[in-house]
Amino acid sequence: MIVRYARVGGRVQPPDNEGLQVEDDGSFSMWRSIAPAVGRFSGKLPPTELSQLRLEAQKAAGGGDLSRQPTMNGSAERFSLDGATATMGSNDDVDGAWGALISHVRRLLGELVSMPEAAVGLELGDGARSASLVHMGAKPIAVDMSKLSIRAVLWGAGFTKLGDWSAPVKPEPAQAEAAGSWNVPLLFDHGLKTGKNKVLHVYVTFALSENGQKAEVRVEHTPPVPA
Amino acid sequence: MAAPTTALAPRSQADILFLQSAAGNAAVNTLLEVQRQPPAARPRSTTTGSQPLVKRGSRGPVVEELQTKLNLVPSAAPDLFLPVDGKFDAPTETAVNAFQKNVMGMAIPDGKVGKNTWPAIDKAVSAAESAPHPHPVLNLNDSSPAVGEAQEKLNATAGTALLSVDAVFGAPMLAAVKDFQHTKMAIPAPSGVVDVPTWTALDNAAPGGGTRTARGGKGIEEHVGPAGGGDPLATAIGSIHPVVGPGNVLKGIAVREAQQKLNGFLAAKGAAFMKANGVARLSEDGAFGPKTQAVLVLFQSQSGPLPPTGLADAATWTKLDAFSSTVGTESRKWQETVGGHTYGLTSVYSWALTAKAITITVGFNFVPPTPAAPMPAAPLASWLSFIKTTWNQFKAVDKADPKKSVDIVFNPIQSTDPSARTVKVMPGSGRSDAGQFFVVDPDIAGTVSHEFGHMIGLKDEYQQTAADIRASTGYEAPVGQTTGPAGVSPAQLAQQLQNAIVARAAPSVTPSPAVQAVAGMGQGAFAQRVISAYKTLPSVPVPAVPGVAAAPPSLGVQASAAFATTGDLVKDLDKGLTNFDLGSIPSDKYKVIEVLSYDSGSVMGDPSRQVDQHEHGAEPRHLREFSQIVAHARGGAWLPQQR
Repeated sequence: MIVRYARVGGRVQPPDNEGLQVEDDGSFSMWRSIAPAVGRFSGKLPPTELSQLRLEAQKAAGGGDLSRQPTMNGSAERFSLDGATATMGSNDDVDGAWGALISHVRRLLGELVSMPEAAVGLELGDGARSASLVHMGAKPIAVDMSKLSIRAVLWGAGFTKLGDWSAPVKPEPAQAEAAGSWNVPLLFDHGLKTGKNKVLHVYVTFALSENGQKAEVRVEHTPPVPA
Repeated sequence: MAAPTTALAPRSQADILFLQSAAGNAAVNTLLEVQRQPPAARPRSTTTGSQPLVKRGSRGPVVEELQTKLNLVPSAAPDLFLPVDGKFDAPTETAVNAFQKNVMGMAIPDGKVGKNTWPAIDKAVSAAESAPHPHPVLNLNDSSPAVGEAQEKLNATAGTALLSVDAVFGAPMLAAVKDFQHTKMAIPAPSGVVDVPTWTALDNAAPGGGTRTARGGKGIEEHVGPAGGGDPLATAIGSIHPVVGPGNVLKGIAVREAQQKLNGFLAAKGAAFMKANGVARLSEDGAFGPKTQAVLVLFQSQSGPLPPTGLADAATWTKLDAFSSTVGTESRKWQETVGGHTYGLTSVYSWALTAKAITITVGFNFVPPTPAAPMPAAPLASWLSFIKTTWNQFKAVDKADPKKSVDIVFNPIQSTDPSARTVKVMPGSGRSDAGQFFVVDPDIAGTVSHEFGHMIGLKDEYQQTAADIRASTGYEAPVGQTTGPAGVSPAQLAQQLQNAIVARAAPSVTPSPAVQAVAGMGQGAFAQRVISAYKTLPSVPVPAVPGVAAAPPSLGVQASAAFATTGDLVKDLDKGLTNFDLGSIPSDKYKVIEVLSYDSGSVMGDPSRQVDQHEHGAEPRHLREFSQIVAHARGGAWLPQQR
């Protein structure tokens, strides 16, 4: 194992619940709960990236343990290496021995969402008038939609919130195994008028289970908003 | 219905008798009419006839007032209950149209609320509020929402959270009723039965309470307690003033405040005293020099005496605060308990008083995500404007002459001063907290306004005990939900919760045994019965929990020590239910404690937790500190009011 990472907690529900472990041979396993796709992700890092990560982990281990108090109501992170551990608030800026590794792992957490193993994503269609949950990856995953809710927020230039819509949705059946072409259209009658210089963000909250472990998740569609 | 928001009338029977003898029955009747108006039911702004025209697209407090009032008139559009969000949207327009058609009899409603519709709405609200509110006779062992209402009134009359508002007429309530009948109704041999005369006396002593049917069949529970009561300001630990003098603060507003107060001291002593001691009125320039120090030493020698250190330390400030100033600083270190857990904060601001306004300046030090990163493009001005929208709605009014008022103006600024709150500006979409604001966070307006409340020294008003919510808001803990899960007694639920604490289930077990126990429960009387039942359980040992590192989707478990249960359910839940690895409080713990406590519906309680038709973001009680500063400078009593 080169590095094992976890980010948990936070004031806003569902909590952050993210994890990544990279092995010596470059294989990785990642869990994402608040992301553009949620669930299990796996694969192998390219050799150059792996070499870089290994060097950064060695440097961090040389720096010894690091402990910082997270911000109140914020989520917390732990980076575990062979022989050293760092804990801190998520988004704490860290330099020194740990700095490069921490930045790198946080970046990987976003990039590796492109390699799903058993995950659920969100697809918008019809000019953001329809939304569906879709299965991603080669393996199945258990989905609990009994408390599913969907929210759409319309943003304008300058980060101005133009509209905010939300609704509970109860797809049938509420419990499902997502696999293959699994696709669940969601009632999405948001009534928000999209257009030039307007960006729609969509959040769908539900739950996933893996090996009997249930986790609340939020799949997000959050393209950039013009400044 | 227009009514004073501060009922300053006498309340006790003795006071009423005195008024009756002094002013006659008409005065008493007028007084009782005012007192019978449920204070919390009065919409916040009641300037009947002077409200501005509002229509589709209008926003703000006036629209909140409209929505609140429309919800109190169930006959207009029975199926529609409006969220009080200050946005005149399609549902609000539909409700206005229905009101104009069904109540005003307009053939073609225009959906606008102006000079004709406002009075009609006020009249309809007044009629709804004065509708008969049935009071059943209550006896020992009764259990009903009316019992809870009587408990609220007994608590309000006693001036303390005497009884748990559990809607059960038990022995403690019997004693309280008898005491009320004996001391307030002058009944020599009280029955302990809450009969019609007792209800009348309770209603006169503590107006409000009960649940009204509003639009959509919803029940709106009225508060019991003095309108504008309560004090949500945190108690300072130590002095709120910085030490001024050599080796400490030597310039700035704190020095100027000290100089003004020292000048107040010199003025009180008079010219002869100043001449005899070789001192003159200080220049109020905010610079601590030899003249300021000399007067400070003189002040110390005359005050107590205090040690003549020449430093304005905590003891010296306590004496200096007897004098007024037009500027000041405050650094308030404080603690609060939320959900059984104690947190510590420090609030820092400065203020300046002029003829027309008291302006409170609070600094935000916005920084990039890392020192090396560029500052992201961010709506900093919008963030600060959220604060102004929420908080700049009030004025301090002279109680003796209500025509005299001073606007209370909050001025959040960007500042690099060390006292400013450092907040990271995070690019992209994310979830903000006290230390970081994301440029694309759909909930940022509420987060910023709430955190600003803390920056001016206000406590949270969520996950509070009955005594806490009473102290902060001025109204009694509401009756709330009087029933629980079918077929399960409060004693059984208390035992289930103790078992859950002892089991210390991992937070990632979903739902946890504690969450299962409170399923179907809500804040209020039934939950209080569970709390009372828990108090009677014998203390049991709770084992230690070894830490388990998070391996998402497992959130892991934080290690915690063994302890023994205390009988305080919320505190035991806080201590006993395991936290996520890395110390974060799990949602399960939040959910369980939430139903066993109380939230206000204000910005400090979080309207998303508790919808309360009577609370709308910032409330006058949150501004009391600043009206008191005005009172200290101007003399007399000044009260915070909506502008």
